[in-house]
Amino acid sequence: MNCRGVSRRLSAFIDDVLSPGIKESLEDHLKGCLKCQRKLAEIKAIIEAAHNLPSLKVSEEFTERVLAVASKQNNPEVVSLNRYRVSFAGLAFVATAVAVFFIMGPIGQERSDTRSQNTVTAQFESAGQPELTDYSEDPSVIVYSVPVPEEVRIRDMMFDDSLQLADSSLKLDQFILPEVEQARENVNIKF
Amino acid sequence: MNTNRGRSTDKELMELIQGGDDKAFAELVSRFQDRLLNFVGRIVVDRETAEELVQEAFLRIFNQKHSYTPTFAVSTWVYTIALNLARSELRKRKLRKYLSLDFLKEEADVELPEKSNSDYESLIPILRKAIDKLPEDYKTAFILCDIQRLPYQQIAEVMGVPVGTVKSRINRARMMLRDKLKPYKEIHHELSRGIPQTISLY
Repeated sequence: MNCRGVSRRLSAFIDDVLSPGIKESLEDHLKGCLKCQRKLAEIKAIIEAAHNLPSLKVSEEFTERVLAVASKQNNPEVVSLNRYRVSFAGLAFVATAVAVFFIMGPIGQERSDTRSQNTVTAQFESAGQPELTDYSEDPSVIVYSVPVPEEVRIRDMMFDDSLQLADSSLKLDQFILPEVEQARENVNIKF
Repeated sequence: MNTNRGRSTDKELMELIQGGDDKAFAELVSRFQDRLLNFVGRIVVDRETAEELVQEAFLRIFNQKHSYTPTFAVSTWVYTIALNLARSELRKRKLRKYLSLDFLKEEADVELPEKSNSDYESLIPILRKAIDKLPEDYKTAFILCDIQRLPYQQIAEVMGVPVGTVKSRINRARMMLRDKLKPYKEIHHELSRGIPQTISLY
């Protein structure tokens, strides 16, 4: 065995976990190698120093503190409170979900006030073809749900008077696009 | 049985704890508290944190008492729980260090006291600091072997690695410590006392 082999096995040799054959070979090498003897002595000294490092001690009330916390955690009342805590969290989650459902509406439902400019235009490009949702077959029926162009709706929202505007036919006339005019003639809607 | 708690083996104590015996748990705490503090304390270095981690380890032992099976020694189970907590603490510290950019600062190497005398007392703080500077896995193996004095097989079980890996880590850790202490000739002289000085390594 050479010095490198000895160096790899020094710890196992010190801890006496080498097989008898390898141990014997290592001992033979050590007899004639002062360098490895010195290394062995240094490692042994480090181990001895580590063994003798001053021992740490827990603080005085440590045991009592651990037992008190363990006992508290083992207390059924505390456990049941913890369970309630989980239940409260679940309840809060459900309540939030219900609130979001009522405010936002069911997922996937298209909101009536989110029509884009394109939607409005498309409805009136096919003037003469009755729109099922916006007017009645009876020409005498007044249809109140006249689609308002997007830019008008946005401006109305800005001035916060859209309801008044919708109720006033005089004011509404100012904002009706030519397509709307044409559609009105075709279906003979009276405002 | 109750009067013999102090004489009970670790496994017998665990059986009592699993049966709801709080005094047996107190005995287990008193049996392992200093050993665990010496183990965790050498890994995380900060004593206050070490004590908190040991307390947490005992609470886990208490809360998870039914998960212990007698296949392994109680001490293996206890050390494994403590090691996991210590590792978790080191990971948190590493993260905090990176977040605070402290890793950019150069860490001072092992410092020798200004006036070094060659007696054994001067070796202690240097050796302690040298152990602290070892890579985590080597440090853990060294502490379990040379401070806690656990056998290789048990160290392998605690660390969750083969025995061969443990042997290699322990040998490497000891060699690294020897190398770290090389610059301090006075201490090395102390370490190699009694050995013929005909061949000088330095």
